[in-house]
Amino acid sequence: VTVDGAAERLERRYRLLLSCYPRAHRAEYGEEMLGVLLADTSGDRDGDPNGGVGLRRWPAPATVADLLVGAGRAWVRWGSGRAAGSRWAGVAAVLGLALPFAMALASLPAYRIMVLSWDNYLRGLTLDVRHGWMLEATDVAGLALLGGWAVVFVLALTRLRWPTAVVAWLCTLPQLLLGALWVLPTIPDLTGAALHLCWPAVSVVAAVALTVTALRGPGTPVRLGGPALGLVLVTIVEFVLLQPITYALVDLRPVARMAGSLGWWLVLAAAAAVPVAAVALLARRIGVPGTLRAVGVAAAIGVAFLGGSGGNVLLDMGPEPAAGVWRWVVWPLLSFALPVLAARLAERRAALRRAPDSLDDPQPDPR
Amino acid sequence: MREPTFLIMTALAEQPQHGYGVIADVGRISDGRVRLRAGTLYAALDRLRTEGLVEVDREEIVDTRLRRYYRLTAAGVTRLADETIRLRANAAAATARLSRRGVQLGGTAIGGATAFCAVMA
Repeated sequence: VTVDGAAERLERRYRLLLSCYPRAHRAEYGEEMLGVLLADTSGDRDGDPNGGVGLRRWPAPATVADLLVGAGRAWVRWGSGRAAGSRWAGVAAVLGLALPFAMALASLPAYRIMVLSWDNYLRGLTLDVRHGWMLEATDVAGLALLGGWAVVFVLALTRLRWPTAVVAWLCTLPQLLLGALWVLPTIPDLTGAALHLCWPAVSVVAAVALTVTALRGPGTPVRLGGPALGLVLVTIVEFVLLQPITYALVDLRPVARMAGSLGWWLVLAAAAAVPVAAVALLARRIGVPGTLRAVGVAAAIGVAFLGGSGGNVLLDMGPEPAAGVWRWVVWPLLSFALPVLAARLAERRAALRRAPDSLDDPQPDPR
Repeated sequence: MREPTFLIMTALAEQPQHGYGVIADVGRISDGRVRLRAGTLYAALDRLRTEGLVEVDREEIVDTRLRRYYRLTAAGVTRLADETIRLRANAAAATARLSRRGVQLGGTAIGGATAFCAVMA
């Protein structure tokens, strides 16, 4: 084996080890680390009396362990929103605020009555308020748990990050247990599982978001002054608008059946586009930044679809149990994939904006 | 502050250095006692950059490889000075108490081993 051949093999193996690091970390430090690894052979030689890379072909075990531990640390740091105040930490903070708020709102008896009144109004019926209260009485345990999210929402506005995350998990775990108790007897009915595990799933997302915020969140809590106020308003508007509209669509079932399933999806999308556009416009007027606006809007819509009439309409219309499963496709797409995509695009735009600066304007040397 | 972090900042205190330079310098500073490796070094550098204690001084391409020089920021200098004062105070307290027990430090041999005055938190 030639010296060059050994060096190439060693480099290839170092590259393999470095591939364990997150991509962003590799982009920042990968080539530099490789240079250091190849240069740093003083305590890492395997019998080469001249030092240097020599005929070494395998990284030393201590170096392998060091790189693997370093990769683990890098995943914790870069994967959970490396820098305080990064967009990812911002996404977590906003989700941690918007989701508890939406869940607390959905648990309010007054809200249920409001939705029923809209529903009845749109159907030309008179409102029976008692029906709303009776509806609540059938689900006291679930409501008590959802009501806990109001506490989480208030805590999320403070600097008490760890208590917020702990209370969120205290609300989430019983919901998961309750959801499992509901679902277990219904197996293998996927629709039942989709129905009963929806709220626990939102709770898990909210609790994870709040935990990430506690670990890596922005330096100050999200203030109820700018973007947060916008998000709260966005959520309220979305709940007020989207749910009655999708309820109203129930009356269009015969039309949708005639148009077929694709036609139904188009009708639903067109109906959803109206409140979504209104919400986006409102958020823009309030001055919510682009990324946060996308996150808030998508999260609110997702929650509404999940807990409200959007999901029920799908269940009414779609073939069982496919509709229940579809709900699981629509919800993650709206409330999770879109915000992630928005944050990703925003990061890329920011990186592109920074790159020319760093080339044209090198850092001044203060010495 | 952990010992590797303290030594990395000490290596950068006098002048900017690249990654391998820091590794070699930490070996010299610690008299070969601390052997930094790339994974540990870059985890610490990344954290120190995030905290605003270290920044990139300049970049060079040497033999087609990127070589990046790091330096302490003003905040990094203050932090290192604070840590040094803290360690010195701890070392002074330990020296005084050992002295009252009749143990003399400062290069004297104790039980065949040279005593270190550097105590890390």
